[in-house]
Amino acid sequence: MTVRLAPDGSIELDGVCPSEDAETLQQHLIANPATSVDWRSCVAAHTAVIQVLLAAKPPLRGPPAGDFLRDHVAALMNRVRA
Amino acid sequence: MNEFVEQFLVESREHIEQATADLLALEKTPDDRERLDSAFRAFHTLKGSAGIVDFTAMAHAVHAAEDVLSEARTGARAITPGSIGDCLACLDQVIRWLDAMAVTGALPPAATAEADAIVERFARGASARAATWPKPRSMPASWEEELRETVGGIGAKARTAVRYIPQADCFYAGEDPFARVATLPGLLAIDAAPASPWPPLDVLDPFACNLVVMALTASPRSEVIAAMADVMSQCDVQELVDERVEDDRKIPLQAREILQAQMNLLGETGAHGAVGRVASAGVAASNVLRYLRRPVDADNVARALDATLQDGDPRALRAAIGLALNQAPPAATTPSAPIEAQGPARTLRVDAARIDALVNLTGELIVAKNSIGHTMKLGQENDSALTAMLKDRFATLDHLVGELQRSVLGMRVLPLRQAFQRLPRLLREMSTDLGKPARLFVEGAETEADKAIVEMLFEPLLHVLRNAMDHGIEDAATRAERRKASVATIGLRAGREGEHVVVELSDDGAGIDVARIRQVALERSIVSDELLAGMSDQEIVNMIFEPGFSTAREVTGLSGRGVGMDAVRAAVGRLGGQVGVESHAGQGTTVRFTLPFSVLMTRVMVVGAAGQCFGIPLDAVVETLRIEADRIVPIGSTFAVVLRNRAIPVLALSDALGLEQEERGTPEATLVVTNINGLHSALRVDRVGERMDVMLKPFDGLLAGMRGIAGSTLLGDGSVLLVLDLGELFR
Repeated sequence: MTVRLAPDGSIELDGVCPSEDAETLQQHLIANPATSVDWRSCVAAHTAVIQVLLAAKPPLRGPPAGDFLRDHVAALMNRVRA
Repeated sequence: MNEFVEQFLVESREHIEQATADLLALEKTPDDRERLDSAFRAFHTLKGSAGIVDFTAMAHAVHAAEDVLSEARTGARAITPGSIGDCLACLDQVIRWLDAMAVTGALPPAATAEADAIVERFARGASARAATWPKPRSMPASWEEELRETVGGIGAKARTAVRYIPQADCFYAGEDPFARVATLPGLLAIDAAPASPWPPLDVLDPFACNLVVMALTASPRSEVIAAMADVMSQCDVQELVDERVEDDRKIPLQAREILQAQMNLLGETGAHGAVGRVASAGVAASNVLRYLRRPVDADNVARALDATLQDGDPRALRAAIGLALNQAPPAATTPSAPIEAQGPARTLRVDAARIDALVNLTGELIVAKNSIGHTMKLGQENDSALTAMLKDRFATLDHLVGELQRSVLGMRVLPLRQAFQRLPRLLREMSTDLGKPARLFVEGAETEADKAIVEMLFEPLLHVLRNAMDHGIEDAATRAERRKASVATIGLRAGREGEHVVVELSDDGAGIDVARIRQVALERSIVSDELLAGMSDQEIVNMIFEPGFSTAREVTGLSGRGVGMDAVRAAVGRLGGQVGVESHAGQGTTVRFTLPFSVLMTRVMVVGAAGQCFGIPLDAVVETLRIEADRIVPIGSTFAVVLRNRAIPVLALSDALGLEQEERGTPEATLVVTNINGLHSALRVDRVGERMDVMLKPFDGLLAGMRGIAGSTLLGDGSVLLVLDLGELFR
């Protein structure tokens, strides 16, 4: 599982998250609206997953592992959450 | 008001005028490329000037309109009546801002919210047309420029911008838009926005793509296109560099002049010159540069301004502006002249108040000239050589002053177009509101008249136009029944008739309902039964000019508030004009304004009563005659005389003005028959004197309320001649 609930209640994204993860991530975020998303070990994520993050704008714990995520998506998230 | 704002106001109005004319023309012929370009240019220039005076809200609103036209130019979106309406609404808002600025000299406080409303209107229009991607609400520039701003400094290196709007079901097809963008060569930055606003998270479909993905790359456009080839139909790829290089080279002449003016201003300022002047010059220059998309130069100027403000030495600022100017050769002057070339190119803008001052001075000069004429007449009795010389010189002076007067009055002359130009636009609005299609045909818009007349004319014309649309033009069903064209015709004609300017507004509607007017007149007891029975149809139609007369069964937003036609007559009458109406049942109505060419010169006839002299405007005089005094017979409390089988009321001027009249010993009476708004009346006077052109000065202060007097003028012997207002006298 590349999306899972951590013991501290945060949501972890791990490795390469495929599009199916979008639904799981969405369900977790609906169930835990105030929780943060830890993407430090995330290498890549499908657009569907990023889209859920863009729509839900949860607090993020980073930086992510993947280059594209770190150099570009993280900046985008910062702007969206600003 | 600062001179930039002043110039901004004047020029913006010209651009608005041009843009309005173009938009209305485009509505008729949407594929008129020249009009489209001209409208685009006008909006573009408006936006630029707004930037120069730091009026961002206006730049913002105008930009939204410019976008629509720009898309029409590239063929991305067709021009529709809806989008033209939006553009016109934008211009209306700008006019309101300019009006407010003209009064206060400051930017209107609510402008930002109003601008947002305009931008939103465009966005709504765009989504209603469902033709393209709905624009985010506050878009300062095109998407690629905004993208550059969003991503910050790194955007400066960008050569190509791409906007990718994936299909909603693309995830099922295996598409991963971000992954695709990640592979773009030379990727500098990305951005994304929801294609339609995000729904609440619990109803979001995670497998439907609702994104617009944007990216900036340092690669040339061709490489980006190659990388996006599979999805090119969903992409917009813009080359950024070329545009910048091209723009960097050009400084339009106008901007060059503004920059040069700032440099001159700074040059005049000593080493420790006025801080305010330096600051405004610096801000103006950097705004101009920013508008020209030369951010580097703009920043340099801004930095130099900061330095100058600190050490008080304007040379640094001057050098920065000079650098920006000299780096760029002047742009080839593109012909930005309006499509309909108007008048000679060599013109000078002069404040109307200065012309008025000149007019007043000329008036004084005429009085002085007349007094010399008077002196000359006194001297004529001893017929010396001196008098002959004086007479000769006076003739020259008379001629020159006459020329001067004509030239000065000529300066106040404007084409009636100025009063007409807003009407097509308003007719369009009324036509939509009322659901009555109508066309306006304008003839003789270049006919000239005094500024005061042209400015006054708009309101009355609008009133008459509203009446025509509201009451005159029948609804579509009735028109079909009467076999009339479904699109109504409104004619607006102007022309010169002798010393008068005649303006006619006609419609092809139902005509004035005489029976209905008769009935209303009775109901409201405007006239008595007996009087009404004796009135001709034309006289009854003329009653629409009576105060408080409105036959509309219900008050509409357009007209029918009962303040219509009497207000029209009053406005026209104030400037010495007359208004009449002609109506043919089932065929239409024509309202005819007869206006003096110049309001400043009035031709008067001097009459005497109770030992005093008065002027009567010659326009109103039909004839003067002497009759046996006993032909004037009392009728009720008034007097009348029968002339050519018509009874005409007679008013003794001395009585009307409350003057003591000595017993008239003569068996004859002198009458001046006048025509006021179509009604003949006679004024009994003691004598009829000369006729002359006078410059009428309206009374002000304590004398302003004097009943029956229109104004005064000085005669050659220094005495004051009161000029009568006959309309008031006979009321």
